[in-house]
Amino acid sequence: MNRKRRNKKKIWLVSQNKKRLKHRTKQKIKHKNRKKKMQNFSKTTNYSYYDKKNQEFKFLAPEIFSIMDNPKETIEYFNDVIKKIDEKFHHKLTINFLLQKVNKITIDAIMYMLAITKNTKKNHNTRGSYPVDNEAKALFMNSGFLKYVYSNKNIINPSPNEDIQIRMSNDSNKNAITCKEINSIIIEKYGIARRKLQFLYDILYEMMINTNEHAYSSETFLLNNWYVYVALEEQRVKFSFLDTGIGIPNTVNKNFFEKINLLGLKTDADLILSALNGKFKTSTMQEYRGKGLPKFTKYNKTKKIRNFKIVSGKGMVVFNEEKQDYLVYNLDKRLIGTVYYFEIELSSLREEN
Amino acid sequence: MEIIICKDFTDAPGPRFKSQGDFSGEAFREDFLIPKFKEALEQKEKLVINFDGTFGYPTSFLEEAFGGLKEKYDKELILKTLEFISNDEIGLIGEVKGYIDSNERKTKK
Repeated sequence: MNRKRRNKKKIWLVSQNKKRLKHRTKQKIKHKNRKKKMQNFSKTTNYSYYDKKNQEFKFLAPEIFSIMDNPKETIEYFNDVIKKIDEKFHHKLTINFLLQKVNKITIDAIMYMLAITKNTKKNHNTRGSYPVDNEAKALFMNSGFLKYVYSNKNIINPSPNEDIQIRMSNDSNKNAITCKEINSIIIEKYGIARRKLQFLYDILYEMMINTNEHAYSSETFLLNNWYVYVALEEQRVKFSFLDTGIGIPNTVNKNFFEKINLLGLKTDADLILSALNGKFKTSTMQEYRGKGLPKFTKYNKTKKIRNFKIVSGKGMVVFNEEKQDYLVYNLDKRLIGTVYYFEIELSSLREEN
Repeated sequence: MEIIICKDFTDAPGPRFKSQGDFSGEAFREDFLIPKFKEALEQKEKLVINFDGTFGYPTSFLEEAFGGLKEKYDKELILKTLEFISNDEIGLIGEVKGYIDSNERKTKK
């Protein structure tokens, strides 16, 4: 009897030990993986390093901080930031945008920073520093970025201006209001007839509604917003527009895979160019739609807009006025989203016709 | 018989569909254009659409408002019944006629 009982107990003990061993091994592997992840997470990259003392990630922006003028470094910088935010961690993440080395900055980079700072589905804090260069600092302060964040109100703007500061929204009802507001400000400031700017209303509106309807999917962690900034200069008005969605190449790829193969389109730049030339309609699959992007081509060729550039995914397309055609560039790094830039010459709007 | 868009509807036209926001092409077509078009047909009159006075027209608004009319009426009938005024943007009339005339949407026969 006792032997039987002893044997049973032995068997039970062995099985318990096996269970405990299994559990301990699992915990060890979990701990090892977490340590590895932490090491990778804290790994220094080209633009970032982890400040252990302050427990924050610091991102040093490149000297030319501009998606349009320095796409390689700027896009890589933002992708670095996005990657860190996207990695899941239990504690809140602090991101510090260091701009002190920036000596040239453009609005597209500021708007993208705003998108990451204010409009993500992830839980994190952000901080930052101003550019030391006066011109860059002035542009940064005039952009309207500071309206959306807590900032040191004692810093003086070296040269304030009357530009239409960054507007952003994800509410499609705000599209018409914003387009009307932008048109009205330009009409009032420069004394231009309302009818002369109807084309502007069209293209701004189409960019906004495309963002609302097509730009986003659940794969992106940035919220469904568009961003627009208008620089009001003496001879021209400059427009920068941004969304942080899946990009034109991915939108087209989603539903036109066969047509893309037929047309032999290989790169993102090819896809953007074809969309601008009206070869694809929208992801809605309805042929009568998708007339928004080709409008840019029409206005480029009639010189209603100048210096048109677009960056989306790994493609950049620029309108060359001498050749009256587009130039395409393939980028090393993929931009999450789409950036548009164009100008309007005021002299052309003041002509009598 | 006339529709002056900036007075009767809005000076800031909106998106394509009602679901996308206010002052859509779909709303204009269903609430203004179609009732007036029917009336014009009954009275055997022309319906004049005046585009002047707005801030502009998104492409999708125009296509849905006028191109969408083809789903109820024959395009020849539409082009015969409608007349357009656009002193602000001369090319607009050609654009709208193009949406009505194109074969990209189903036309009622």
